[in-house]
Amino acid sequence: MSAALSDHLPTGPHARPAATPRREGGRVAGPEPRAVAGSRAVGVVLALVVTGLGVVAGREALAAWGAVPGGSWLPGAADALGAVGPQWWVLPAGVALALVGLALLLAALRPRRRRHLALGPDDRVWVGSGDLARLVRTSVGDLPGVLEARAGGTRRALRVDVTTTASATAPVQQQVTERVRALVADVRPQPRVRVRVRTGGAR
Amino acid sequence: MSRAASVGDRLVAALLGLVLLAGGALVVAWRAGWAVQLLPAGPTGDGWSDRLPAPDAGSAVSAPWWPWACLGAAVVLVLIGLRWLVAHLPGRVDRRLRLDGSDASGRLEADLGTVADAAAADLARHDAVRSADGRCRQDAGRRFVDLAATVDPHADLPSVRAAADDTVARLGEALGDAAPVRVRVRVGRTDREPARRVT
Repeated sequence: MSAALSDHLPTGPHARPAATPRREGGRVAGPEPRAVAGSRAVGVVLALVVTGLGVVAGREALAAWGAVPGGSWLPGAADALGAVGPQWWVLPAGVALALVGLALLLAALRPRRRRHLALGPDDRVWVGSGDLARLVRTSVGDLPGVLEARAGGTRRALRVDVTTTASATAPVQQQVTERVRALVADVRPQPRVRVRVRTGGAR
Repeated sequence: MSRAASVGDRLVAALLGLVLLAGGALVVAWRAGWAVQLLPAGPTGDGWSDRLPAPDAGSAVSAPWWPWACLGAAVVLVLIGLRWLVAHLPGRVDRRLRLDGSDASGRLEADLGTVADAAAADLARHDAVRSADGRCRQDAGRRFVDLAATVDPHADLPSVRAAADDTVARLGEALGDAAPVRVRVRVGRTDREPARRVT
């Protein structure tokens, strides 16, 4: 064991975690990394709205006791609502309201996005799809004849665009595809690889 | 953020979404004239086809109970809102891991934060890893050691994985299943790309 780790990890006959069966090698993996849920932003905004409504209610109480100038806001708000007739903007406002409702419903139901790929057979080591694309771009960029390489995509599909100095693109395409396939051979799920090669100017 | 807060967010977002969806559909139906038959006539008898129904606020505002009702609502709403906001802050994770040697005479504990730091230092020793960071975190109520290894853009993935497996195995030897481990591999940036947050 390394000095750094052994200095801090519990050792000795009594230094086993209590009430958990010991299994060599730490077979329990942590949770899969996932993006923050969209409903979290909704929750923060709604919490601010609820707090703001509380402040407005407090102001209404103070206004009723004459402690703040300007009187109550509620009758004015009710009158404004009662003045809404079948104006032209009511229809788009209703559609917008329904769309916001639909977006909230989707945010509530949608699972947290998965953007990482497992590295190896167990789910303990992860690499983000953006990080994998960056590795691919660097690796492909080192190939002979490659002027510029771009890579991007999701955890399911990887897109590589290469500009080459060679006039015949087929050998470069094969070379790049082989390099990318070798790079992603160990990740799960296996992304679909699409390589596009075009001939550019001399370096 | 706790699991309860996460479930609460989803529940409230779903309920509010349904209310807004129904409200929006009702407003569209009202504007299009489809809702006249469905909705009762307003108090003035001219129905909802002309004006949106509005509460008679004047009488409520002048009632003696009004300021007290507002004060009560203010206290409740502000407390709920602030509590809800606080629930979104990163919570304190109990980093103590109780060890077998504990008995009535005393407790033996390991600090998982220190263990995570040491594991990160161990991971950073490998040639394939540029730097590493370790934390004890919690996701959906589950505590785990989270290691983030930053590697060079030219890094060899099998070597990175071997380094991560090596550190995870060392942690497993010491802690067994008590502390699940996750290693995230980050590739050093060569340009200014926005980072995405994960928990």
